[in-house]
Amino acid sequence: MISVNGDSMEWEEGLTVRDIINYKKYVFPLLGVWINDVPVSRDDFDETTVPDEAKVQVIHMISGG
Amino acid sequence: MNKLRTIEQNGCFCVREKKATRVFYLCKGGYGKMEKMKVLAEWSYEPATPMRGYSGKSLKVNVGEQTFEAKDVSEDMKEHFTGGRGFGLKLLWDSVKDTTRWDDPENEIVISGGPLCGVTQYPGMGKFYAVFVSPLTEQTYDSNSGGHFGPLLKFAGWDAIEIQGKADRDVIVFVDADSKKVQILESPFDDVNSYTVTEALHEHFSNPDDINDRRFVTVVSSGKAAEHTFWGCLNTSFWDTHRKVVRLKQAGRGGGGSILRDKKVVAIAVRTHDLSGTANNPADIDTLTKLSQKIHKEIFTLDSKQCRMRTAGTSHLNEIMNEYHLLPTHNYKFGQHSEADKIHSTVYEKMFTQGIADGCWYGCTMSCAKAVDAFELQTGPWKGKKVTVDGPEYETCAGLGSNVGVFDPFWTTETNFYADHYGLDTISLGTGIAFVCECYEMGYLTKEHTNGLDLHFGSKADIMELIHRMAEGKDEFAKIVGQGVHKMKDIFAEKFGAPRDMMEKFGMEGQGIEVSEYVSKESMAQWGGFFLTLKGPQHDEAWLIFMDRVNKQIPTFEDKAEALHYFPCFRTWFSLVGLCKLPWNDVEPADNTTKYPPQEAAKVPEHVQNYVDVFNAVTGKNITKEDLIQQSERVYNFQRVFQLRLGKGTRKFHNIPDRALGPVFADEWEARTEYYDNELKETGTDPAGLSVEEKLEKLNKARRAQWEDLVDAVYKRRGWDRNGIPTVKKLKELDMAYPEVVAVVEKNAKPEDQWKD
Repeated sequence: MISVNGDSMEWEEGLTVRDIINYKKYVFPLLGVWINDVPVSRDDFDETTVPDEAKVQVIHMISGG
Repeated sequence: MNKLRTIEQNGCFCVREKKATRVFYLCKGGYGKMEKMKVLAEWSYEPATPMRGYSGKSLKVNVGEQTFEAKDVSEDMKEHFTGGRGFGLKLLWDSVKDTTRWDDPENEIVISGGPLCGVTQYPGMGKFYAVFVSPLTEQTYDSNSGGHFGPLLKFAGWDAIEIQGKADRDVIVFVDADSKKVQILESPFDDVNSYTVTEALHEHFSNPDDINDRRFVTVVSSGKAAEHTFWGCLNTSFWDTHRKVVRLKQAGRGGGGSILRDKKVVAIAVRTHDLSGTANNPADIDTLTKLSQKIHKEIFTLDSKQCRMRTAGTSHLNEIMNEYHLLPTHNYKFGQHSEADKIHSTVYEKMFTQGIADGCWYGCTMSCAKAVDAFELQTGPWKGKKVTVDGPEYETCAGLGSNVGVFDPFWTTETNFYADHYGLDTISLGTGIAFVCECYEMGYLTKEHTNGLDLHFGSKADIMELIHRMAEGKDEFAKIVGQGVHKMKDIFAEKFGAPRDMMEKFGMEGQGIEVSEYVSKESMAQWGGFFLTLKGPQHDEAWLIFMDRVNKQIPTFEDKAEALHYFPCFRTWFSLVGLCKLPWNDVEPADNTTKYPPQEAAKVPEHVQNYVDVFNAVTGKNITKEDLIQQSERVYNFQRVFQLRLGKGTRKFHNIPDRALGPVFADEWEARTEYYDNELKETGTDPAGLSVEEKLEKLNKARRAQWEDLVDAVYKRRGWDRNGIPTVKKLKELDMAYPEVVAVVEKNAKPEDQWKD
């Protein structure tokens, strides 16, 4: 199990950042991702795997307007 | 060309029809005749040269008394009000009475760009801000526009222009730096609609031998519908040298156009040839140039992977808002619709002409001022004509689209054109008609009331007809609609017997103005972002839905209050200095999210620092990012006290309709049963065994209590008392304790409203 923006989500072997974005239907293009407070570059979303028990933050970068 | 030259030399006005283009002039006396632009009053001046972003002078024109006045911009004014909206509020404060209402002669339209307005090196620096006492909210309103008016006004020698008084006939105010004169001219126009007036004035005031000489002219105008409604917008022009047409941008909100026409001003025109990349005379052009190169590179390389502003404009939000249940549909009942694909940004992208530099001010590589060219109108007085339509932008796609139940981009584009031409704010128009449609579907209105119009959601032909009737000004129902949702609720109840309490639940307005086009009911922070604002639910203070609801970055009331302090102040700063907000966070540096932690990255720190550095490079000052917030906070609190002075500005005016807090009717709940059941659980109520009506009532009650807690937290953070009044202590901290400002606070503040802790 992992947490994504505070919500629980089932974990599976090989789960990538892109999988999470697709599952959550996060279609907004300006996303910032941190896994256990470590940032992930947008160019690496497809390849970066997420470990079990991870705290994932998928931040939509439109704050304030 | 020779004929035109002769006309200009004779001091006459050209009246003619160009069938192949949008130009369609109709002046007094009909087609094919000419009439002199009679000079009613004239005044000579020596244009001040802008230095470090300021010309140092403001101009006041009273069209009733036909007088002119130049005022010095003091150092105190620059220090405490910065420019733009700050200057507008200060000048308005000095000109109105406590009792002034929108149609009193002393009310003004004050237009000011700010010290960075007119910068061509950095993108998004051509905005002006118009300030006035609004017919909708009966308090001060500020509304911004791109286009060339703000920069050219400053380069013609004026940091601000005040238009006061009421003329006894239709007039044009002409500020002409070339001849060093300001004139009040008798208007020759029978048709005062914006494209008619603007095209004609650009042509009339420019060299007939050089069509691109029209770029040295800019016009603010409105239209016929502004005379009959409170939704009048201020259209601002610029000459598109690529398309060879006049383009219009809008200071849409608040009813500024209605005031313009109430004053019988058809247009305010400015002409100056003193236009260059250094016309602001910045203190440090090298730094300015260096900063700018980096942001332009960012936009060119990243926009296509980020927000696609350069090809889709703000319409890129259409499908995003739909996906996140935020696209207002059927008067904000729903946030999503099965037909939303029809208004997908890729559809609009194909309609917009691509490959043209679509900045609304020089140097803006965001290029988001998209346009539909050769669009053939299907209705109205210009039926059959091919025109260039500015937009539609996201707000129009939603307001005059999904929110009124229409998913037809061509229909939306046509309403966009006529709204601009007639001088109507597309946001209030969309939200207002959406309210009418819901009243119609509820059976509160019938064809008897609407004078034959079928106003169900999606009734394209009849909604279009309603818009045309607003411009014609003969239909009583159209005039009622044009007074806005706030007044419609009263009138529908009194005249048609509609239930006031029900309309209160779904009439989407706050402080008298219609909500802009986002569903706020899923985000507590956005309740504040819309309804704890200075002037009503407009999206230019704080858009916090993702931050709050999706990112879950601001879980507590205190977190939300902090966001509702910081972001409105940051956004206010754009309005003080003359900026568009889009280059701040609609494009971000490639390393923004890897360089900064989430809370900091949300502010786009590198771009914030750019703004600090650009401000210092232009003005020669040495502010920090903290000073930037303080500049805003000064004006923000001043405006709050100004509302108080006009009889508003207290807690009871921060009203919020039920639908902005959550679902109102069973079909809204049932569209997302699992989601809302969970929401109810989070408030401590088990939904099991409850009817939908009971669930609706319990969730509403819980959210009303949360709203009051939010208001308390926000007022505390802002330094206001329980009644929403800035404290004298706060004003002193901000160095804004002017005696006349403190006097307003002391007259209204009560001891029992002060916080105990």
